[in-house]
Amino acid sequence: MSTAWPARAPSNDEILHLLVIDDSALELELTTTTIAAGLPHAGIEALRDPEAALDAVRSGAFDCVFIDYNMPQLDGIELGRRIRAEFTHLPLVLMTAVGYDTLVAEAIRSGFTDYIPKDKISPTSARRTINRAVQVATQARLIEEQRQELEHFAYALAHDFKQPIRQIRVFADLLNTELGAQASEDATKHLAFLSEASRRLATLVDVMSQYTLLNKPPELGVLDLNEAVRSVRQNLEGFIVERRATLLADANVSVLGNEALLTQVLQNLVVNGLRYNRDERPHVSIRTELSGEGRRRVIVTDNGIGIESRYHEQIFQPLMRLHNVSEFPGTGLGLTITRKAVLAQGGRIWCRSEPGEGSSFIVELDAAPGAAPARAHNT
Amino acid sequence: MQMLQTREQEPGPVMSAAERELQDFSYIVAHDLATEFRHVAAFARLLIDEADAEAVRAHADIIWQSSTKCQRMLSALMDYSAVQSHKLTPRHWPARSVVERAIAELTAQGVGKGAQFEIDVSGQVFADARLLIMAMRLALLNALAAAPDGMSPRIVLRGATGADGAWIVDIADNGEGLAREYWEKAFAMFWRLDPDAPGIGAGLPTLRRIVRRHGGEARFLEAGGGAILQITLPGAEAGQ
Repeated sequence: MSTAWPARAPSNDEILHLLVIDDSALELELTTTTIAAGLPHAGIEALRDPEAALDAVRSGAFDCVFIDYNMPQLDGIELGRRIRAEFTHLPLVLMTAVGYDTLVAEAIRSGFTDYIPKDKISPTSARRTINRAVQVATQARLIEEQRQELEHFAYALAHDFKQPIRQIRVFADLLNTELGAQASEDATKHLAFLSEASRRLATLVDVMSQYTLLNKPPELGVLDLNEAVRSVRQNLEGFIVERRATLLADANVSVLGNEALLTQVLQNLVVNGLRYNRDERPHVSIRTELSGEGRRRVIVTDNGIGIESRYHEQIFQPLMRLHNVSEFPGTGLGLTITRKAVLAQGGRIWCRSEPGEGSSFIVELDAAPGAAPARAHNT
Repeated sequence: MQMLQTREQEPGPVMSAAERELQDFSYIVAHDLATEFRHVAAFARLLIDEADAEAVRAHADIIWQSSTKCQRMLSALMDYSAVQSHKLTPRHWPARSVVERAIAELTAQGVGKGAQFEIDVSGQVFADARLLIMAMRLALLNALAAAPDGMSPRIVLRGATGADGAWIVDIADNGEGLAREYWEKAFAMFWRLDPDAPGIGAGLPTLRRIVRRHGGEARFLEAGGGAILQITLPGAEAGQ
């Protein structure tokens, strides 16, 4: 998304480029004159037609835009919303005749950086408001840049390493057939270590790909939980048979979520329950209940080794391995990703468990259609 | 204006928590990947020494090459990332000393032996010395690599402060030049014109990132023979 304002924060010495939008010629004159008195070096453009505002913002590199609230053609809040949709970090200030609390709250929700009641516009207050709005927006932009930076990093890890890792795996497999039975014990052992490391590499990169996918807000819809369980059962068929495990589900409900993410969440929890498990017949069950607030809880219970209560929060941290890798192999990222996938669907997840007593993971999602579906999109 | 205060507080902690999470995650994964690559490389090395069959040695060698290349990519990626988080402490430096220091560092690493440098650099730069020397070293490495096989590298550096206070340096090599369509691509991470050439394609993106952090720009210019890489740094006032 491109924003038409300078990459650096304008300091006080720099010339600010401002846009003031007000349908009343008189008010417009008054406001621009007052601002000009506070910021004598600022370039100020005045605009009466709110319908033309978006084009004006697009064509000029403004540092701050003042918008009148009360404009019959197009109210200031709606105009602010439209500008915000295109210009993520452009400072927007709403000018109100009367500073109603409800109006101010709506303005901030719509993306305004600040507001100023018209009767409070003085050269000093205008200058202060502009400087502050620019500062807030600069801060937000810097944070956004940093976030993107980290995302690029994660993306590069996930993508640029796929091919070489695949190459390593292919040739490790080749070596396995070539080395043959007459190979020395050392060589056989070293190849086994090498294969093991290359398998972990592939898993790490897969996990990283999954994680980067979660950085975009997912589309949410009404999902049949039974469908998700069916997918999980299908995906894990081999794993379940191999472990002589059982998966029971009572999931005749619908939830608000994203199909791919919900399947991933359940699958990760089932795998987790069967993997960290010393029982001869590992077992996982899925059931649901309603929370006090009417949200849907999906509860995944296993008969595994259990988790001490002091770790109940930590297990969701990246690479928080409670166990020796050789006893319970895993990347240490499964639950981190699971939690991120739950959060992305507007839900939450926590754990109830005791050592030796198995674990329950509770995933709470919105239950019904229309129950605040916008929640996850507004991030 | 209590409204502004709530605005300031609201997005802050939320964003930084998300940031920290991603940061932790990326670095931890990078660290884990580095460990595994190191293991793969080490065992491949052992296999190369142990194996009797030529085919096994050849394939173990491919694995060794891939994994050591990945190690280099990973560490380049960490460097690239570190440029962004590095705290800048800009000061005034004679530009010529930055160039000379970069050449001295390369020479100390045994890079650029037999290369000719023609240095016509004046003016002052306002920059973080460590980062700028790193950028200059990367620019020189890029220019050194451009020399055609069998020819020793010849690099001409011309730098001076312009009328607007910005410092500009052109770094020209004696390579085959870079087609205009690659001028931008060359700055993409891990991009390489010739995938078989040595190097991993992290130098120019890291260089550009350093220069941009100083408010400047790095780009290729029209050149008669080899390529010309131009670095611009703003003057002290504009660069802060």
